[in-house]
Amino acid sequence: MDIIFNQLTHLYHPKTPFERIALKDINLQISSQSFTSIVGETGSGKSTLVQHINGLLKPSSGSIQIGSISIDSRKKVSNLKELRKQVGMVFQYPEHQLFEETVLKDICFGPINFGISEAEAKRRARWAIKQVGLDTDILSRSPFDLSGGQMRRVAIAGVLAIEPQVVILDEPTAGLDPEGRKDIMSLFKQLHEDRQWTTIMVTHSMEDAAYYSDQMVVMDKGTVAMHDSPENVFIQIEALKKLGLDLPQSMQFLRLFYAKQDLKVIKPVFSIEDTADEIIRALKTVRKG
Amino acid sequence: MKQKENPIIDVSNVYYRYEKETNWILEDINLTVYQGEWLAITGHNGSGKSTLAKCLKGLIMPEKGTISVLHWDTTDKEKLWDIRRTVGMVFQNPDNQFVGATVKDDVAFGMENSGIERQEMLKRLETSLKQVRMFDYVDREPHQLSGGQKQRVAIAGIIALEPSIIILDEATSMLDPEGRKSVMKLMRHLNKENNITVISITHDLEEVIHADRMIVMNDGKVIKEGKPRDLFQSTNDFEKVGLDLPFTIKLRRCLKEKGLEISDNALFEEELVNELWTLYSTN
Amino acid sequence: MNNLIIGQYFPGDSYLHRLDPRSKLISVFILVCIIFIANSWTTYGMLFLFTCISVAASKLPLRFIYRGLKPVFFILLFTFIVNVLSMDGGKPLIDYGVIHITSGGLVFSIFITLRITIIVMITTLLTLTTPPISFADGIEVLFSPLKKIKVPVHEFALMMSISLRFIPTLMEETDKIMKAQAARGSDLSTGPLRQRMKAIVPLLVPLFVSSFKRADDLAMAMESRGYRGDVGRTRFRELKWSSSDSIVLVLVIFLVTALILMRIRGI
Repeated sequence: MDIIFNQLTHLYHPKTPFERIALKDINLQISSQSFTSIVGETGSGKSTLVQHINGLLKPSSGSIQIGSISIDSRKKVSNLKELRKQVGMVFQYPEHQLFEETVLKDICFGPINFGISEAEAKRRARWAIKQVGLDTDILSRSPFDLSGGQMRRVAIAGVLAIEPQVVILDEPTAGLDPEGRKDIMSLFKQLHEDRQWTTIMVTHSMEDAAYYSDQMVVMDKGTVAMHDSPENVFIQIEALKKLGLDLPQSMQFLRLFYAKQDLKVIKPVFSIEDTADEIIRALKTVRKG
Repeated sequence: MKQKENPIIDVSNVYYRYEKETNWILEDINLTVYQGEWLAITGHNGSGKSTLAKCLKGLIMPEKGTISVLHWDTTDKEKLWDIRRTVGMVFQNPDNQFVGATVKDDVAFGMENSGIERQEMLKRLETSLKQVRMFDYVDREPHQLSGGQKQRVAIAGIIALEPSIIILDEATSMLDPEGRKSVMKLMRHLNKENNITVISITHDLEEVIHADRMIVMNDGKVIKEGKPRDLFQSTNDFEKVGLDLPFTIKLRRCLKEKGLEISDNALFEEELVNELWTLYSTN
Repeated sequence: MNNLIIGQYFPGDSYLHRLDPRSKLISVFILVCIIFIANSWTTYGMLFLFTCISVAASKLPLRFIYRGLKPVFFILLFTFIVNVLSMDGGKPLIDYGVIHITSGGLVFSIFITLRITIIVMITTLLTLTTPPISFADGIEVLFSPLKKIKVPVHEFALMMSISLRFIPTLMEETDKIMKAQAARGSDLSTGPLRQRMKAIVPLLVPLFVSSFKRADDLAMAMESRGYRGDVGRTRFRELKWSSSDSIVLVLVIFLVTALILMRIRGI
């Protein structure tokens, strides 16, 4: 599903002394089945932006179009439920939303709210729990008896069971250890491909943005500063610095590496493998020249 | 060179578990912390590193073994409050350790507990907040601060008590990159300039390479101990216990696999870059 | 999330803002008590005048006072109507079926309504000009004599200030969980009441769980920072009793004496 922001502005506490512009005149098109990372400093409007996609926030002016559903600041929204069924959202620390007596019931909560039959919801729960790498035995346990990492996976399964087409991830790996982080990210990458999701991920990790996404949106003070592929974004080293953003470690390293010979990074690379190849290539060229 | 030979904490044969008959959370821990050093304790979530930290501060008591801080035994009730004042601790969640209604109240909280006179409090409040560069925010309320700023306030509250040791219990894991950098920079400064011993509990090996000494924990046991430069000479063990190697180390290994003749020494980016260019200018 | 004025304190630097919370608390307490002495146009007039002067001294925009009154507006109207219809005395004014209004009843109803209005106005004024935390301080100091009979005054004041500090945090948390459940199709704002009540469970359970976690963390953090109750503790927050506080108290006592005298003389 294409997602189109059309001159969207969002104000916090409108018409009070605390009024503040959170998003300013956003025009943005996120294409169907893309994996888009949204980066920017804290307070640049990343979370506010994505919360419009499933109608958790309403534009103060302008509109947003999600597939066939549109939300306009001037009109009352009628088909919110339909929208949320199609747009799943994994919040930061999603384990905080668990509440049911058993894992099974908690995973079924979403599907049943969206009018799915109980039998079908249970089938989906069993599918979802396997997807997140947990055993079906866990379904009968209380979510509050699980470890932090397992709780996170259960919460994610709860979103998967809704079978959304668009998935929003708000810093999905916050607070996990490196192994957990890697597991969760490869899980999302896999599902993105298998289920043909349109994935939108808010992240502070430039490595994740570079490595997993094919599109990036760079936010700055409530506006879209850049919207391009990770390669084209991260080559703009100076511009990113001005926006208070880091480079992925591979790029940071290459920059330092080239600076020693007064050279500049010309080609963006993100993986360790590619970085090593780039270094070897550079060493050879420099020796020749 | 500052002296790093005086032991300040001594842990011997420590065992800990939540309940009898369950698995040990800490099993036979032996450890010495030296005055003025930066010690990193690392391991994946659930390896026992945070439990160990809480033992060092006397927040929980070991079932077996002894822990002494500045020669005070943590089980000595008389000395417990001295230990708590000498050892400051910054916790993971910035919100759940902010007690005061405003920045200044929060910094004062620890001093109030220690019975410091008000005039002295005002003096220390100003110096400690200036040290963490939060003095301009003295009247702010916690919900107006970022996570990194809250952690800096927590550090101000600790240094106002003039501690010898600060434990960072995954203090940066909930912060954004900006907050993380500011907290680490501040702590390095306190370690170098004020000679405060820092014990940093973390699973971030990028941070660990800056430590003077490191300890790797797994399943409640210490499995490695030494200088980061020495331990990172071999790399396999870290990944086995669910830790992610620092970028430089991964790149170094990959370059070697691709046939480059470089050493196993480089720890920081700068070092690897220099080594690479020297290698190819001498060849 | 539109209401971020906690305990509706409105920052300012007026005469009332600068007063010590203790003098304000005592004054409000006395005023609320003696308002029941008033029983005539003159006495009510005096009290109302005093309240208006206080409002002026607070330099607050009038709409804030109005905002304080708005929630009780219906109660005011209701009391007025009930009293007007039920109280007897004086000349009959209207006598139409069940509706039976007398002049005495009307005057009495006006008094009652005025009484509630004044009480609401001065308490609103108190909360608008006193930061919640000073409020807690004031209460702790005023009630500290009770420590002698083992009333945990310090603990109570600490509880109050910690609750105040966590209100914004919990509001944020509530907002977050509400959104998370809404994204899973839970609906708090539409549908029949029974269904909406049911939709509160997915909000309350996570809130309780996280609050307990917070309480646990906070207790650990407080202990770690050397908190051991009211033992050997000094105070950072200081209350300062100034001459203005004495003047205000004298004024209030003067007003009370006048009201009592007038009541006795039947003015």
